[in-house]
Amino acid sequence: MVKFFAKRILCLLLVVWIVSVLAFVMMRLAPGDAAVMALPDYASEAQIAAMRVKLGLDKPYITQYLIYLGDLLRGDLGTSVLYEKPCLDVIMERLPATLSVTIVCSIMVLIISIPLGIIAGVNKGGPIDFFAVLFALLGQSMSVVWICVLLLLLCSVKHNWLPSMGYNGLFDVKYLIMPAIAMGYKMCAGMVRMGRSGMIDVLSEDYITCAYARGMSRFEVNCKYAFKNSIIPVITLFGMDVAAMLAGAVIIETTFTIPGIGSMLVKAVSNRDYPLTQSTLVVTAAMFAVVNLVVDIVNAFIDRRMKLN
Amino acid sequence: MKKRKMFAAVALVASMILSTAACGGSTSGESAGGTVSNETVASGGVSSYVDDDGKVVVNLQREDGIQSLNIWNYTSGPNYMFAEMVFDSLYTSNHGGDCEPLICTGYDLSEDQKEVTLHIAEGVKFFDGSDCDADDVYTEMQYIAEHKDEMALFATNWKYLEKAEKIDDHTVKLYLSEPFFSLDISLAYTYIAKAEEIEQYGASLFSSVETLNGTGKWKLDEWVDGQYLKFSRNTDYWQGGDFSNIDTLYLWFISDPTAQNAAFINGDIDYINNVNVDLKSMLDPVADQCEMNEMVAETMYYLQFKMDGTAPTSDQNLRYAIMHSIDREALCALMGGGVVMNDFYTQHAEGHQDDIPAIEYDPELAKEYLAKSNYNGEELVLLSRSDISYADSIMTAMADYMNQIGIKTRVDMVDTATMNSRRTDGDYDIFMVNLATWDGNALTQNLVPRIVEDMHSSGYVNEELNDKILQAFGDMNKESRTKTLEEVGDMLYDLQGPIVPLMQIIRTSCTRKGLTGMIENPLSGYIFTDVSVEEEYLK
Repeated sequence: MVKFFAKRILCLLLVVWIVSVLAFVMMRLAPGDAAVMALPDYASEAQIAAMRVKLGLDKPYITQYLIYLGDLLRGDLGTSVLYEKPCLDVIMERLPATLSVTIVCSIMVLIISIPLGIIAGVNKGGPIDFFAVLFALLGQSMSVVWICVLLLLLCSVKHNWLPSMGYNGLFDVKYLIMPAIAMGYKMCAGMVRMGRSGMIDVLSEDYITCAYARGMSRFEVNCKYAFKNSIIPVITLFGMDVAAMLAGAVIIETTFTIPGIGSMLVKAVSNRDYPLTQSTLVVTAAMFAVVNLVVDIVNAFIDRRMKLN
Repeated sequence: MKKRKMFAAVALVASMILSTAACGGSTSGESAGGTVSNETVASGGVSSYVDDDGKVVVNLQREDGIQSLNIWNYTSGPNYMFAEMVFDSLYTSNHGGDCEPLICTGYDLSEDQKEVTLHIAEGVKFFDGSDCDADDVYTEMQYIAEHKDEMALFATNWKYLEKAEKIDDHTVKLYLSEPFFSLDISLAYTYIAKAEEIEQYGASLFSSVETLNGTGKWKLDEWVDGQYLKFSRNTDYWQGGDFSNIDTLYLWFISDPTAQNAAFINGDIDYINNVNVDLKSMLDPVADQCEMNEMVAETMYYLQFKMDGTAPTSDQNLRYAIMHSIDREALCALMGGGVVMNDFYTQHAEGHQDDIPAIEYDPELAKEYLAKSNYNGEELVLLSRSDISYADSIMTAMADYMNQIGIKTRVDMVDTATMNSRRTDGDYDIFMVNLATWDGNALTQNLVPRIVEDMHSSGYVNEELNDKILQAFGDMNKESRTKTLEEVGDMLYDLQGPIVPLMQIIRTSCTRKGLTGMIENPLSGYIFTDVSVEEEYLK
C-alpha cells in the first residue's frame, strides 16, 4: 500500500513537472510579448524594456524556468501581471466557483447516469434501453452553447424558475443548477452509454451463466456480480470527466456569469500573463492527477483483482 | 415492442419541440432571484428597486470586467467607471471633452503656459473622514511626476509634468516642460488619493477593497472578480450625500448577449450597456418596461496601412483602389448598424468636417486606380483581432471586395497579444481595429501616438504633417486648434493613409424605466455617478 502511494505520488509530481515545462515552453512559443501586453498601447520602447526587466523576461529562458521552478518548489506561484497580486490568491478566488459547479454536476451525473445505464443494460432492447440510447445519442450530439441558451430561455426567461446569472456559494444551489446541467449532460450521456455497454458485456460472460446455474436470482446476479464488474470503466470515465471539469468551462462560466477558473485562464493566456497561466495549469494538472489517483483507489476496492501494488 | 419504441420516440421528440417552442420570453411570474450576499436584487419581470429590507438596490451591467483596482494603471472603460465612482478627480469629465471643476475649483496659467496654479476646494473629505487638501494633491502630483512612466494612465496625460509644489493649504503649483491643450482632460483623469497612504503604500495603495479611501460619491463594498462590483452610496459625500436615493449599486460583468437579455427580462439587472443587434427582439416582451437608447458611439473601426516605402500599400494609388473597392455601407449593415466616416474624425471630435464627401464605393474607379498603381499581384494580408465584434465578418467581406477588383487578399485573425506584437514589429500589410475617440479629440489617443510617434510601425514619416499635429497638441486655443486639426484631416484624407477610418459603430443601451440621473457617455452608454430612482418607482 505504502509503495503504491509513494509510486503514485512520484508519478503525480512527474506529471506536474512535465506540465510546468510544457506550460512554460508553450507560452514562450506563442506569438506576442508579455511586456507589451502589460503596458498600454502607447508605451515607449524604454517602458517596454523596463517592463521586460521587471517581469524577468530579459533573462535567458533556462534561467527564467529555473527561477520559476525554484519558486514553485517553495510554494510561490508568482505574481499575476494582469491582476497585480499573487497567482495563488487569484486562483483561490476562482477555484470555489469551479469546485461548486463540479460537485453539483458530479452528484447530478452520478444520480442519473449510473442507474439509467445499468438498468438499460439489464433490460437490453426494452423501452428504458431505447430511451437510454436515445438520451446518450442526443446528449453527445447537442452543442453546449445551444444547451446554455436553451436553459436560459426555458428556466430563466420563460418560467423564471432559476436565476439567470451569478454564483453565491456551494449551498445556494439554485445558481448552480443550470451550469451543472450544461456542464454535465454530455458527461451523463457518455456514462449512460458506457454503463449500458459494460453491463451488456458482463451479462454475456460465462460466470454470469454459472451464477444462474447455481440458482441465484436475477437481482442477486445483477447486483453482486454484474454491477461491480461493469461499473469500473464508468468510474474511470467519471474520474476523467470530473478532472476535466476542474479546469473550468469557459462557455458555461461566461453564459451564467460564474467566476470560475476557465474564463480566468483564457484571460490570462490572451494577455500573456505567464505566471498566472503557468500556475493555473500546474494547479489543474495536480488536481487532475489527484482525482485519477482517487479513481484508481476506488477501482481497486471495487475489484480485488486490481491490487493496489 | 416496435409500437412501444415508436411511442417513446414520438413522446420524446414532442416534449423537446414543446420545450423549445416555449422559449418565447415572458414577463409573468415571480423572479427566481439574483440574490447575492443575502441582499435581494431587482426581480420579477417588473423590477422592484426596493428590497425586502426597504433598501433601494439597482443592478447595472457591462460586458468586460476589471482585473485590478489600481486607478493609476487604467486603460479601459469599466476601469474608468469604477474609478470615477469611488474617487473624485481634480476635474470631472463626460469623456466627450466637456470638463468641469471638482476637487480643483479652477486654475491659473502663467504667461508661457508652463506653470499651472491649481485652486483646491475646501471641505473635501475622504471616506475615513479626514480632509482632502493641497497636501494630498501635491503628494499625488509629485508622485505622478516621479513615476509617470510606470503608470499607464499618466504616461500620456501627464507626459509634460515636471514637478509639483504646495503653495498653501488650498493651492498647488504644477511645472510643465511644455504646454499642452488637454490640461483639463488630464486633470479629469487625476483621481485623488490620500497623501499619507501614497507615501506609505505607493503603487500598492489599490491592492484591496479595504484600503480604498477615496472622496467619491460611492464606496466600493465588494469586488467579486468575474462577477460584480458592489457599491454603497457615500452618505457623507463632501457635496452632500443626497445626490442619489440608491443604497446599493451592483455593476455586473456579463459578456454573453443572451445572458444579458435574459437577466434583464428576469429582473436581475436594470440596465444593459449594449444590446446585441441580432437579439433586440428578445426584449420585445419587456418593451414597455424599458427605454432603448441608440447612439452613434465615438468609436471607429479603422484601417492602418504599412507605408514604409517598400510595402505595396505604400503606393497611394493602391490605397485609393482599396478604399474605393470597399462598400462601407454594406459593412455597416453587416454590423447591424453604423455610420460611414467621411473624414478622419468621429462626428463630435474637434476637426471633424461634415461637408467632406466620404470615399465612395466604386469598383470601376477602384480598378482604374489599381491599374495606375505599382501593384504586381502580391498577396496582401488583412490582419485583425478575433475579439473585436464583427471583425471576422468585416475582414472576410473586405477581402472579398479586394479580390473582386484583382487585389489578391487573405485574412489573418489573431488574438490581442499576437496583434500587439505584430503591430509593434510592423509585421502587417493592413490591419483593422477599433478605437474610441476619448474626450472629443483625436490627438491624445490617435494622432500623436499613432501618426507622430508611429507606435504601430507603419513606417510613414511626414514632417509637415507631424508638425501640424504637434502644433495642435500644444495649442490651448480651441478655435485655432480646431482649424489646425481640419488641415491635418485634409492631409490625411488626401493620403488615405497610414490610418483610414471606416465607420463609427452604433450602440444600443437598454435602461429599465425609473432610473434617472444618468450622464450620457459619448463613447457608449452612461456615467453612473449620479444615478437615482424616480420616486414613483419606489412606491
